[in-house]
Amino acid sequence: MRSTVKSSAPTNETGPSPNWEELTQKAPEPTQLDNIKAQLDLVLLALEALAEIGSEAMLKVAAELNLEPMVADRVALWRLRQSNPLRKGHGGRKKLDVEEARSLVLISCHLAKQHQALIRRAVALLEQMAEQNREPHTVALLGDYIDRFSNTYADRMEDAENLSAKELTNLALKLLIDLLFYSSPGGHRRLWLALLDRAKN
Amino acid sequence: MVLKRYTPPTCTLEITAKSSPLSRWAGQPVFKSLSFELRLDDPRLPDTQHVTLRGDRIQLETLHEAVSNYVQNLLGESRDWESNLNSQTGRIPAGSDSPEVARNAVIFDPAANTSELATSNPYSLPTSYLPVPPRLEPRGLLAHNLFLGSLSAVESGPIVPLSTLQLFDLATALDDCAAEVMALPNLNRESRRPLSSPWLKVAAMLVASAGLTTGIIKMLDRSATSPQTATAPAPGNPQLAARVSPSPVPALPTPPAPTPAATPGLPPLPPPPINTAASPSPSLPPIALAPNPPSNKPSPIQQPPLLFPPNGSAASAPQSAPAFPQGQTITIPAPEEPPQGGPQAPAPVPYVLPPLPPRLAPAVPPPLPPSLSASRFPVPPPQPFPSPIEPIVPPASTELPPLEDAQPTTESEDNKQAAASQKNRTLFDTIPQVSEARTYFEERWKPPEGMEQTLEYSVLIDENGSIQSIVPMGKAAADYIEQTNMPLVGEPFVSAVSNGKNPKIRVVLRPNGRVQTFLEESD
Repeated sequence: MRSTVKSSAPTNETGPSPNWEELTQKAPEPTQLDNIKAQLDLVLLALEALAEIGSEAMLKVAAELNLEPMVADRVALWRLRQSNPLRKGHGGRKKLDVEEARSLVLISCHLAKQHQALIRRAVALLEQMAEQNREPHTVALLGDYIDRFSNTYADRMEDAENLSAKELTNLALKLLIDLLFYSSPGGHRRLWLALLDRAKN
Repeated sequence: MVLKRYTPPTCTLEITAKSSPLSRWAGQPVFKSLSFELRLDDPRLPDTQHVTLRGDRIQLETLHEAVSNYVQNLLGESRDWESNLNSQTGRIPAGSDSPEVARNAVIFDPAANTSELATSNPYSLPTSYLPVPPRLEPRGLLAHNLFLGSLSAVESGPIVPLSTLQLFDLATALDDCAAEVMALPNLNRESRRPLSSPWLKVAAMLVASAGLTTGIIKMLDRSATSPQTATAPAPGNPQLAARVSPSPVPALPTPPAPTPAATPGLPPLPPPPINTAASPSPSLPPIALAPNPPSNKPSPIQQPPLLFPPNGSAASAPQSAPAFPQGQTITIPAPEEPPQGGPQAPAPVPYVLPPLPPRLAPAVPPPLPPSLSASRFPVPPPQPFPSPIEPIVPPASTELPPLEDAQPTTESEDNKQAAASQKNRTLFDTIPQVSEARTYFEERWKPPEGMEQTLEYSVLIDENGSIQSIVPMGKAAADYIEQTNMPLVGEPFVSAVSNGKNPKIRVVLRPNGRVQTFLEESD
């Protein structure tokens, strides 16, 4: 039986806005959860594509953050991510509760933080490409990222065929920028709030 | 001194503040005059494009809020990334969600000197009464415009373009700063709220001057030997308080001179009817951000209304009630116990006032000074209370604790401990019966619908802790006494008084439901 895991999020959040614990007290509506699952899966997908992070790295972070009860092993992780309704053959586990969502948020942001330098570089390159009016994939770092993202997306997601290459590229780049903001110390709060916001839309 | 510097790659945020002497009582760092300098100095940009912004704490907080909200909006919306990344069209007017932000695209005229705004206001409102908060808008998908509002610097113009990385760095620096520096004790943390309407300010001024008048009367009554603080401003002189703003209150009767000595058992002046919505009771905790009244950048009233005694007079004044330039910190000695006569504390006991509720904040300088100075003198509440407390109880106000002249050092110790044990203890809890009385009423007091006055009662307790007499202070108090759940004479009320004295406790019941009690005197 899984026990409630205390958040091991960074404790430097002391502003007037609700802290991490308060934020995650509020469980999203079930209908919102679907959207949240999809979003979380995509954030992890972006990390995988950019930093070539595999499930090993994710599990390692889960252990560091004492989230093992949620994400004990590869299978558990896979199942959590598989709860994304957009995934192919998601006939398996469909539920993702708040604790699990929290865990994935913490893991994602921790990974983003670990790879912040890389994310920064990618965003800097993206800005440069935009300024120079060049397509992003003409620079290696971005090109590789976009390719990996698109391929993995196509492998895993049901609706991949409905998305054009351009749409996938845009999705990848949007996620890249989001990752930048999630890589800061308060990133987990931002991600959580963003998930809730998007789920409302 | 530079408190902290945050140096992400594309900007530098420097926080400076002065360390307040209050730190040693507070037990933690207490700062005043916090200001920031933000240099948007991305090394990829030529020096000529670097922008330096400066401001005070409030502006920093506003900027932080604007940036955080904007970033959150960016992340939370499913923006349309279909279009060209280079698109220059700003699609989402994702401005700050803070209520102060104007949702229209009007850019405040950067040339307008904000202090001009203040002086043009008949009440000499502080500069930031009408600040234009910064806001952001996307410029395409990868760039953003930061509209500086009141932060505009000459070299920056009203708008600063930011790339995504610059925005990120700015947001990170502000977040880190908020977590560390702005989390330091500060009275005005909760003070940023919408501004109050003008009538509240006027009302507050009236109250303040009325309170001052009362104080003077009491003072005259009470002690012939006590040196009087200057002239009492006429009751109908609201300008007094109003003027405080950009300059030290000129008409303030009280110069920062030592107050009359220990007059034991001073009945405290009724606290100015303003109420801080923020804290339940003015406890002593450290705070402190008391900006000095800067000449060119007057602090907004939202700054901690903690009054800080001018260093010069501090040592000699048993209690500190310096003339109050708006925004300064004042320390007010807590109500005293039976006369301890004595030597004054080496420095005034810091008496931290709750922050001015933002509503009133920028508009009215803490009307404290007049009352404060007046109330330095122990004065018995005059029976024919000119119902000064009436007008309002605007959410924005500061409570003046009963003033006390005799400030034995033990007092400060008590206060420190009071602060330390915080929570339900207040500085007024000189004897346990005071807090018992407060608890009693907190459980029972339900302001009648439509009642706007603050009710005060002077309750004499006998040795058993039951009511010996109840004196309503003022017409309103008399009118509403039945609704106060006031115990009857002879009924048990609080615990027996240990020192055999008969304490007189002032009970203050506010229309917003707040209850305060303090010891008037023990005989």
